[in-house]
Amino acid sequence: MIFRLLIILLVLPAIATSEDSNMPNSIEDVKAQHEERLLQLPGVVTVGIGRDENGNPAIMVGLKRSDPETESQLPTLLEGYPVVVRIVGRIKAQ
Amino acid sequence: MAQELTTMKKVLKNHRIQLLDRSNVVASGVGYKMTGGQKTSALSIVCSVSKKVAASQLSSTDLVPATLDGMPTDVIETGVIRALQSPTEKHRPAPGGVSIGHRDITAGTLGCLVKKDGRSVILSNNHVLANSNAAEIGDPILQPGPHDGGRYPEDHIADLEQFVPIDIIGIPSDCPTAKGIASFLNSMARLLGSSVQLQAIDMQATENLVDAAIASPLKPEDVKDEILQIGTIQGSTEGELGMAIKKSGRTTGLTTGEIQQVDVTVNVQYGEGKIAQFTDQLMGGAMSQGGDSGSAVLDESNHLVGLLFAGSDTTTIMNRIQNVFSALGVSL
Repeated sequence: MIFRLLIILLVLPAIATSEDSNMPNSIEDVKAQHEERLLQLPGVVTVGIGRDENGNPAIMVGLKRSDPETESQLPTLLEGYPVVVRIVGRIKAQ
Repeated sequence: MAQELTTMKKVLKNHRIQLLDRSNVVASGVGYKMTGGQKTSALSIVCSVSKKVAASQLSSTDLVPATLDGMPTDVIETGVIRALQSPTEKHRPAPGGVSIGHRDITAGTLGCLVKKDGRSVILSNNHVLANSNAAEIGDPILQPGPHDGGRYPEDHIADLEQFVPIDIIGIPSDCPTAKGIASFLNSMARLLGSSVQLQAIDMQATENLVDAAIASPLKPEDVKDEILQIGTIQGSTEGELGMAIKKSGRTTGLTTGEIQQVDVTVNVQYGEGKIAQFTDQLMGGAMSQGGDSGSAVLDESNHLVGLLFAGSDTTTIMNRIQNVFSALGVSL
């Protein structure tokens, strides 16, 4: 009984570690992790999940207006997911 | 075919007045003949009637002949044709999609009816029914909204019952230290040639999920459990990426689009210098304008998916209806 318990204790951390290193983060997690930083860039008003022009899941960054300075600071990929910039305008309560 | 159509139009022109003189006939035109509910390839003179009546019960002068100058006729029932009532007018009973508002605002849209403790109540936005947190419970709600001529007490339709407060995080800070720091940094930035300007803002990052409120109708018969140009709601469902959606609103009426983004975090302006951040929102394309706030958003099968509350010229932002229901404790 004690022997069996020991095996479990030895195996469990191994499984956990292998999951950490091999499982890619979901797009929801990656977006959540980066959105605060993205929303602090001047002119960024939205961060969401959509699709790029090829139909792949993408992190969508919405700008109030075209802004080359902010756009140059945005990565094209975040942890493997494409980052797509859209001009969404000033979002107002309607 | 083109020649046949020209002949048909000529025949119709010669007989139009006599056709419309017949009782029950409300319209006449050229269309494909329907047989047993199926469209055929044969053109016919189509008479629309308010009610189909058996030939035996009609006098010969009211009967639409089977042929006119050798051309076949068809009779279809369309009901009485009425001019569409504008969403900005007074409606009793009031359906979803029409103008509504707290007495101190301009106008928004009545979304739909929902159930609160078994009673039917009106669902719309906080900024439509509760004046962006400024209203008091019990305040009068007008249909149409004040901008569309709604007056108290004539147009008083409901009382504000409940709203979900919105945390507005972007009111320019009154903190003198923060203002001082911002102004110092801005002057430094100007010296360095940067165009970026800082504003001292109270960042109290509380996340908003909904801009929602309900109002209790004074009389149950003053409201109607359907949506203008859409009809009755057939339940609710989760909004998903790529889903086809529609809404009926006070300003732009019936519009359609697609959910382009989910899990959206968005900074929304509530007037000059006031910004509220919302998370877990749905984003659609150009589907709305000012005054459409509060519109119910549905999928193609009339399942409720969202509550419209914000947008730009190119973008529409909606709360997930599941978040609205749980925040207010309401259901369909």
